[in-house]
Amino acid sequence: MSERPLRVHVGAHMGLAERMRVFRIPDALEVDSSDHFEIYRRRVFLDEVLLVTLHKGWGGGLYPWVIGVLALCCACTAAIFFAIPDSEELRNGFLIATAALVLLAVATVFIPAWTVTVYGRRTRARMRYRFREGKARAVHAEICAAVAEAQRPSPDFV
Amino acid sequence: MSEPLGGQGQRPRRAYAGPACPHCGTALDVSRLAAGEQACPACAKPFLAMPFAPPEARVETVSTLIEAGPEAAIPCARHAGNAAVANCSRCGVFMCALCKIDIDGMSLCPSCFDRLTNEGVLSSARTHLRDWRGISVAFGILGCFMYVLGLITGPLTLFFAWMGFRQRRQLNERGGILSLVMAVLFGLMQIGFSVFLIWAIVSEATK
Repeated sequence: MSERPLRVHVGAHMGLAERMRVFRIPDALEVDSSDHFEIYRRRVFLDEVLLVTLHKGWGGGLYPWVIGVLALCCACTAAIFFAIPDSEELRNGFLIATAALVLLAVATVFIPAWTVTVYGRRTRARMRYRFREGKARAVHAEICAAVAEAQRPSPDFV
Repeated sequence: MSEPLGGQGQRPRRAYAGPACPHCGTALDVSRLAAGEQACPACAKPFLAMPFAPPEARVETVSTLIEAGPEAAIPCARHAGNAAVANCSRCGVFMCALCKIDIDGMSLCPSCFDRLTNEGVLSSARTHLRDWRGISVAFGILGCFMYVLGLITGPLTLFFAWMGFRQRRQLNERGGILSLVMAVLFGLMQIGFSVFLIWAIVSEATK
């Protein structure tokens, strides 16, 4: 019945406080925020954008926490094997896995991430790119160009 | 200025207070910002800024019957003084430029727009959807912790991922497929591990 506009995925921001995916549609950025098992959708219209920023930060978002939980699980399993006789191999295996996961969790804290934030009149969109500075700069430039085009005075309006 | 509420029965979203420092969240005065590298006045951290000055309000020109003349135009069904520019795609009523709502390839009058929005027919107007992608990823990861139940959680993960792919196609999305592919792999892993576990138990029991 209806023709849907193409939604192009431009980025995502996955943090502890908010999880959002950003899509580009012809006249706006659509922000899908995860609210438990529902998507709550809002739009940042290009002709309402006030500011677009790009900044560098550190941290792997959810990754350190997820890897930390896995490390905790491995540590608990290793502790269980301490109580079981003749299980040195398994116990050592889990201890090595725990140490590796802890190191990985610490390493993910120092992942460089570039974040593009688009501030509209009523809401904002945020996209984070880990290790991909070029992609972040390209998205920033593309959004700035689209906003400038959308906010150019049109002769159809007074 | 705040973000819109989450809809009927939804809790209010966190307030949005306009442009702010992307590092510390301190409110910024956009009119004083210049394009290029900037430093936050509060935390002094750098960021690249591109400020814009959108027009305050855009008012579309509406042609009136007086301008067009009674023979040259048909009056809008809601605004008798305005000239109609289109028919509603659903009910056919004459609409002026004020009433006309262009959405999903249709031109609708306000009444039909409200009706179709409430019925969930207009995909562009929907603000709440089931997050099949998130559900499939959650089942994929949680199922790995409950690998004994892999023959239950694995197919469920695959089903939710399939729903995610279907939703993606319905919404005409491009890109962002990685999480769904990961969920499928997690689902297959769970099934494979469960089958291996059952085979190992059965082969041990038959020895």
